[in-house]
Amino acid sequence: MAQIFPEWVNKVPGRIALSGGILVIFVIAGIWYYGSPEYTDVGYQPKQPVPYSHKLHAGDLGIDCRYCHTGAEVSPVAMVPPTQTCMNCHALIKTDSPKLAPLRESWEKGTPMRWVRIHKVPDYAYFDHSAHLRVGVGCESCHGNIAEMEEVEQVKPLSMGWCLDCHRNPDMHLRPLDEITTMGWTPPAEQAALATAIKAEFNIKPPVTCSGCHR
Amino acid sequence: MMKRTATTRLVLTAAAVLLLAGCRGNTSPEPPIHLNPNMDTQQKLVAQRSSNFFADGKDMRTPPEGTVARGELREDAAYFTGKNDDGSYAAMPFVMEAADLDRGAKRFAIYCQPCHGEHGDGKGVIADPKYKYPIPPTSYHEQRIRDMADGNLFEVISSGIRNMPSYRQQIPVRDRWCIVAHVRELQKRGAPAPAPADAQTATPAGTTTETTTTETAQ
Repeated sequence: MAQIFPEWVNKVPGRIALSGGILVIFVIAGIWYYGSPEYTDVGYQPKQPVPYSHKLHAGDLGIDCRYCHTGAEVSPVAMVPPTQTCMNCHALIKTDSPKLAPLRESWEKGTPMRWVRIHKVPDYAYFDHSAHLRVGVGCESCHGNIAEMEEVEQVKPLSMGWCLDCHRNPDMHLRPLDEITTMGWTPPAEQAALATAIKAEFNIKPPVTCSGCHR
Repeated sequence: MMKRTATTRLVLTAAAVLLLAGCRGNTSPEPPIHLNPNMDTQQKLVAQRSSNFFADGKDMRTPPEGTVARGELREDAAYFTGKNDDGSYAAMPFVMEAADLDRGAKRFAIYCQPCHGEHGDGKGVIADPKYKYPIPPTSYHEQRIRDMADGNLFEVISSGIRNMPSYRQQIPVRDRWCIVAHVRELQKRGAPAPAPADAQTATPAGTTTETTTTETAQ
């Protein structure tokens, strides 16, 4: 009796099972690695209309974050400053710098600067800057050491899992209120005691329910 | 033999894909791409985002001149403008508690110190010659400033004067009064001793930071 299938067909089901299994592992690993905000969002460093250096202004000059981001302590939005804030100094400093040409144009015409937003949580998450700053979560916890960045990039994933990590255990991210804008702050040795004291003082119970952040 | 080349090709392709995709944390000027972008960005009005509802991209219309928001009627002229109804400069409109003074000192450090300096002597970081700020900031220890009424200082913070811009938008009214109190406090403490650092202008630009630091330490 003639064979219908050649002998190598015997190996086919095994091969399919094996390669299929490997493929599934690769797909899962790929989605885990490349689908995560750790990959998609971290490192986002858009080109801004003016190459504003946070390292110079916040680092070398030591200007406090709140000089420009006046909304941070009192409202949900930290606020990218209006052109007027830049012109507080740049009406007199570097008045002929070509890099600042878009700024001068904005000032003369009254049109807003089109700064590119870097840190963005989805529109269905209602993050509030003031709620965090008032209880001693520093800028650095979410934005990284801005004072060392020439041009700002996103350094934290700002994903829900990442938010919840801190909401479940905020101890390492609580600091005295005088230190909230400090960059390069290192938790003291007695951080655990400090965190306990801050949590007691402000009655901190970070919400981990849906409605804590979603409406 | 054929099988081996196929494997090699597969490995090379995989390596090329990985190389192109990069690693977590690589910087990129391109906006993030999300696997599931559902409702990440919604058609609603969000602070500091433009909208296509109006032609000029603004979310809201500019209110007519003289519009008063609820609870924002500023009847107390002395408190909100620093001037009494008769046009004279007002005195401090409320009693400064220790917490207010503390608040004033901290707000001063944010908004005033870059130019006027920690001691109010006009030697803020901006006075460092390497930043080429053309006009030295005013020292609070000048007799002219000491003689000013509290309301006058408040008005200067609010509206600016000569090269100093208005800080009305950046500093809330109550904080401005707290800052005025801190300025008075600095004036009471007096100007820091001139010290050798006063020869600052004569020293080369490179060493100025150093002299400023020693001066602050005194």
